[in-house]
Amino acid sequence: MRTKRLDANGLSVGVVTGFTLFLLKRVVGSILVLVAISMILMGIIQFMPGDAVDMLLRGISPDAVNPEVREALRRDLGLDLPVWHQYWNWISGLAQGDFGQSYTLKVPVGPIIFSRLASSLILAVPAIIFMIVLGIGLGVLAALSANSPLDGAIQLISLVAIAMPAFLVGSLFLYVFAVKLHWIPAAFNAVDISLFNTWETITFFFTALIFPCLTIAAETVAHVLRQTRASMVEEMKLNYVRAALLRGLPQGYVIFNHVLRNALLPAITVIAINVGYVLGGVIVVEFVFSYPGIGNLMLTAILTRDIPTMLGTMLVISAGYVLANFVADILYSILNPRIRLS
Amino acid sequence: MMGSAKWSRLTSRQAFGLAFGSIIITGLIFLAIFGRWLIPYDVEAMHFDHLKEFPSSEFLLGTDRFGRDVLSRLILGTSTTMLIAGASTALATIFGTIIGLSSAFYGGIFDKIAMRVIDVIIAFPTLVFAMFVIGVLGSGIFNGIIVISLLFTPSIARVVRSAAISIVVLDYVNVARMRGERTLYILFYEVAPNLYPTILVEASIRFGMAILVTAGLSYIGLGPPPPAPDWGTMASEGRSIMFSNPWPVFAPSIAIVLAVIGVNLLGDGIGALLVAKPSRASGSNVK
Repeated sequence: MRTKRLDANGLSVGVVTGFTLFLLKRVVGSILVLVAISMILMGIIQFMPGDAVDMLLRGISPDAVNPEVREALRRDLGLDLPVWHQYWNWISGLAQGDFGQSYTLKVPVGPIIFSRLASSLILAVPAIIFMIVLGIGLGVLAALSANSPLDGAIQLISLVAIAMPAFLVGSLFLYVFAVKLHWIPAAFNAVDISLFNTWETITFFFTALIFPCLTIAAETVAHVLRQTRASMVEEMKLNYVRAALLRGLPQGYVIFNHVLRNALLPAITVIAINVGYVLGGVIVVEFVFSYPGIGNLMLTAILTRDIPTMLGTMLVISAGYVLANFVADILYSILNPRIRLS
Repeated sequence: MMGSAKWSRLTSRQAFGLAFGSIIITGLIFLAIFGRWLIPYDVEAMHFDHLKEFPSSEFLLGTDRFGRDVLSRLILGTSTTMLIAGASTALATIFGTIIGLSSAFYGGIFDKIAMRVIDVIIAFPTLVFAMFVIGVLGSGIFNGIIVISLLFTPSIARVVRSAAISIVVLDYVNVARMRGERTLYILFYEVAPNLYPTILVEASIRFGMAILVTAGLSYIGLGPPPPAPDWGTMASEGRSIMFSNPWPVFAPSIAIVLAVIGVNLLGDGIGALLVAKPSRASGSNVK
């Protein structure tokens, strides 16, 4: 076993030791959060008014259904079991990659969830990239030109963007580009992206999918931008920046190597929070553009009381968010090693 | 009374924002309370000879696909939207303040447990989770308020706790303890008044978000059931006729934007007025 080198304060000096420990804590923490989420989801399902069995037998007159058939169906779905047993069945299935059978489609849910997830990621990943690049870029631009007309314009637009619900931005895009200009389809579920080859997917993205994508990004760009601008402006007032400039270091060097590095710390937290917003925004935007993603799958599942699909989609979306927070924590600790010690 | 020194702290932009925000919010509260007596038409009255009309002198914001007056529905919808957003913000602020204050005051194991629970709730993607819970439990004004307030409570508790932690250790709090004051008295008469600016600013940020969350939920069909007109539901219903008449979508959407901008400006103004160092960046938002 390697002995730890300690400094005068008794703190471990080896960066790897500290960092590995930090990483391990975060991994365990994230897993525990996911387990808690899965339990809460299963708990909430128990309060669902309206029976999944009734929903399945919809369209068949209640008198025509033998109570025994109803009970058999309930047993078949495992709905007669106590909660802990249902939870155990679900979790042990998940451990083997089995999300259960969809009540309505009678096929395994897993493959459906992941193919829909892929469609959603086509929107979400570029939206997150827009958020980071545009948010930080415009924030730096606004901070560097603080109190100029350009800064004023950026601030005003971001104020409006924050106040706009995603469905308004989406509706505006739809109205202009689908209704008036006919550039994009009015409903994206009429287009089967899975039939496209790579090149067609890329062209389709830049001609049509860019609009739902920008819709998701709009508000988050504004949040990241405002945070970046605010912390940049605060940071540039500090003495070390003046000292660096007075020592004759080039302004660009000071801004990108000194100021930005510190100013990005709060921005990273805001970015991580906004990844969660992107996930929620995806659902609304998929609804506006009738896009066949995981959000629309979840909404349909809720309406049809398809419990395995509801639980599966919700868990996958939550896992995405937990992952985003995990990555943000790690990035944060790389940029600011002090927090590993706290 | 407010000293003039406080007002001179505002830049002209902040003063303008404060005035603008106050006007919008006062107007919305007025409409939410008295709107039902101001509407030109019954919200359910269908004018079948005036379907999907653009704005005219007869119908100031046009009509929807059933020939219902958009302006009347918009005005009546103010109360639904404001009720859900306002009540959930108020509940979240009250519970968040209580939890945050006691967490800071008692510390120890109580603080640890409270913060762990909050960590877990914050680790949820809020909006998606709200959709799930309301989807499962059923939509309605009551469920909307409960879910949104539950999701906002943790972040308010965190903010209050971090602000209170530096206050509960001050001498005057210790003196109050030694005088033998009751804990409730210390918390709400000695400590809390110092936190009002922080709480007010945080609550205003949350109120803006609550309006957006309420509208978003209604838009995807998880809002209060009809007949209560609600801005998000109106915009959603207008979707099917957006190609012939976009007004039923854009009118409620613009109302939402105005309401949120008004709340944000008011919050910024109050923050600048009450908090010595206004360093708010409107950075936090709905997860």
